[in-house]
Amino acid sequence: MVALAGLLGEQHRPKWLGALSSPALFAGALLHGAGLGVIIQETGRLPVHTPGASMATVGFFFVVGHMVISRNPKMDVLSQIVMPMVVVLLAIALLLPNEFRPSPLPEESLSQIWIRIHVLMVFLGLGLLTLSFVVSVTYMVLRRRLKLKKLTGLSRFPDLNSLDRTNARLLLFGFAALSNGIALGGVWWAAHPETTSIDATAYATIAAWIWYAIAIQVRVVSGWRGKFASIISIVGFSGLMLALVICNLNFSGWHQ
Amino acid sequence: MRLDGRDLIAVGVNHNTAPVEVRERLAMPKELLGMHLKALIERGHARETVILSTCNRVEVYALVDQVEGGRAIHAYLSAAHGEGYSLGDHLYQHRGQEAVRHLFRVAASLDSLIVGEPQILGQLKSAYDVALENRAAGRVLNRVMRRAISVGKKVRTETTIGASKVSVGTAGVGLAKQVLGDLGGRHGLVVGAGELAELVAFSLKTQGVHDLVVVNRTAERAKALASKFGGRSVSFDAFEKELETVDVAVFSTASQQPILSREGIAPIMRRRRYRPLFLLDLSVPRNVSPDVQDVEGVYVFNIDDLEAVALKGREKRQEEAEVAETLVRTEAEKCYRSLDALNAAPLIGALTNRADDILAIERQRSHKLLADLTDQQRDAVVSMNRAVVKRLMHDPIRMARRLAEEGRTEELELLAEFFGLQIEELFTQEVE
Repeated sequence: MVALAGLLGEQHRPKWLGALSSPALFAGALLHGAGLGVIIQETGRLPVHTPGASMATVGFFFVVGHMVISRNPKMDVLSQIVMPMVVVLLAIALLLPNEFRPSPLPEESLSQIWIRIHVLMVFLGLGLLTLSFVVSVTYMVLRRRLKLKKLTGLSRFPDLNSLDRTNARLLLFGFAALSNGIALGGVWWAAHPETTSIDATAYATIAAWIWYAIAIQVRVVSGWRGKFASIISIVGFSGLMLALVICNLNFSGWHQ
Repeated sequence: MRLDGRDLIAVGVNHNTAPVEVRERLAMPKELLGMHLKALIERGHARETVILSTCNRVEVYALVDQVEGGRAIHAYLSAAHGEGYSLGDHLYQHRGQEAVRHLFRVAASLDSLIVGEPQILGQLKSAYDVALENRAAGRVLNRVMRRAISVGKKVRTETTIGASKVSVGTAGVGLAKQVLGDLGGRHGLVVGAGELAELVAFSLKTQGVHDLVVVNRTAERAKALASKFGGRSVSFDAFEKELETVDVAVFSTASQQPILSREGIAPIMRRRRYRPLFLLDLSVPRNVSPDVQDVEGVYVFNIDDLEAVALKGREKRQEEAEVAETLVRTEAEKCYRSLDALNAAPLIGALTNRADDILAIERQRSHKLLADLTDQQRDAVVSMNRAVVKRLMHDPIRMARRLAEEGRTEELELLAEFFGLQIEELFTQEVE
């Protein structure tokens, strides 16, 4: 319902649908959060043991991030992309293999606090980078409309500058979370060299991290922003998602 | 020549019928208006004419030959646009009462991009002044133009159409905010120091633009505008340098050529590290070359782009606009009818002259008879004679006016004959 409201947009959806979409989104996020809480309570860690569960967890962080930035009413237009994306993410989560594959890591390793923070940070980073992707797409759409002077209905959009600043923050926080996650994973792996080797998913994540690191460095040093930052985010996120899906389906390792 | 209201036409293009690319090629700067007015009259395209050239319209109001119509003016405007070019669908033409109504709508700002904006009345007055200076306006356009200006004022005072806060300035600022967000603390540049530039400068300052720089070819005018808004002025040559630091730049100069090109802005944007720059070009012809829009980080908007923003305000003012439309329609009908009354003017003039001549001759004849009278007594006799003649002429003059207004030409001719006058001769004499 929320996705439909988002897809139709403020102009075309019935009033009741618009009125119900925010409470429904809040209720959905609350229930998803409660579900995650129960799983964490029972297992002691985030449910990322299958590709489907991982996707659903990314979706949760994605929605929470969206709810935070939608406190600015003008950012509501992002719902038109966020909500359908969430539905797609959850649909993929249901379609992906969900049978439990035991981890090659010993059970006591998985229970360590460092691994839990590592998983939390990586998934938080992925959620924020997903949101950055959405903001970037919105930025590019608005930029194109302004350049082509298609000015009707512009009032539904936030201004370009706000989108760029929001994107910068999401990139920065997403990158920081991802960095922490990768760093913790790296430290843990260095401390347990006998356990296993780095797998395909880790390589893909590190490649994405390098991509984002260069982008942020260029932004800070050269001041490039706007279109450049948006393209970086769109390409980075698309590549990362593609790599993660391919890796999870085709390779085996302790991340799969 | 006898006047027919249907000889009056309005031919032109405006923001609804032609994009800025067409209008800018037709735009006639004030210093060249006289030349165009003379050309239209000397070539026999019009007997009387007024040209209104603003950023939103180029219109020729003219008294033309009914058979030829406005074709010659169409051709003249097309030629002004470019060799071998036809303005085709961009041009519109109104005739007779419709032409009067169109002019009144323009004067009342009902046909403006931003309905209710006050600038058009000043522009119309200015266009009429130029026509007067060049002896291009005669008895018909004098009457119609003066009435249009008066109706324009009446609409503004009797309706609240001009009370809206939407103006070129606020519409431009609205677009700037779509790109830059909050304008508080931003830096602004105004190139030009005319009325539009002032309007936008005011809107920018109201939105909290912190440092306002004014640039104009006449340094004194730049200084005056800058001091009005607590800004600073710099020399005209320095405006490109200022573009490196400002966030918003508004162009409103009378330059006939673009003053900012893609080649000019590209290195500036590199130095700005592609920080967004909002350019609002209110000039016609445009001051900013269209390809500047292709440069990364630059967002250029012109006067036509404000229409989308102004539409919101227009809907709100629809009710007031309807009241104004009714007023304009009534006044246009009245004015159009009164044009026919102008046909009585030569006859009335001739009748008055005939009466004055008779009085002068009779005074001469009776000079000896009145010689014994004192000056005071002589003046009294002369005054009495004048009063008698005036009263005698009162009814025929009133009748002449009425017959002309009602278009009863044959009876008007009969009246003229009754006093020994030929009406066609009178019109010929008037033209000579």
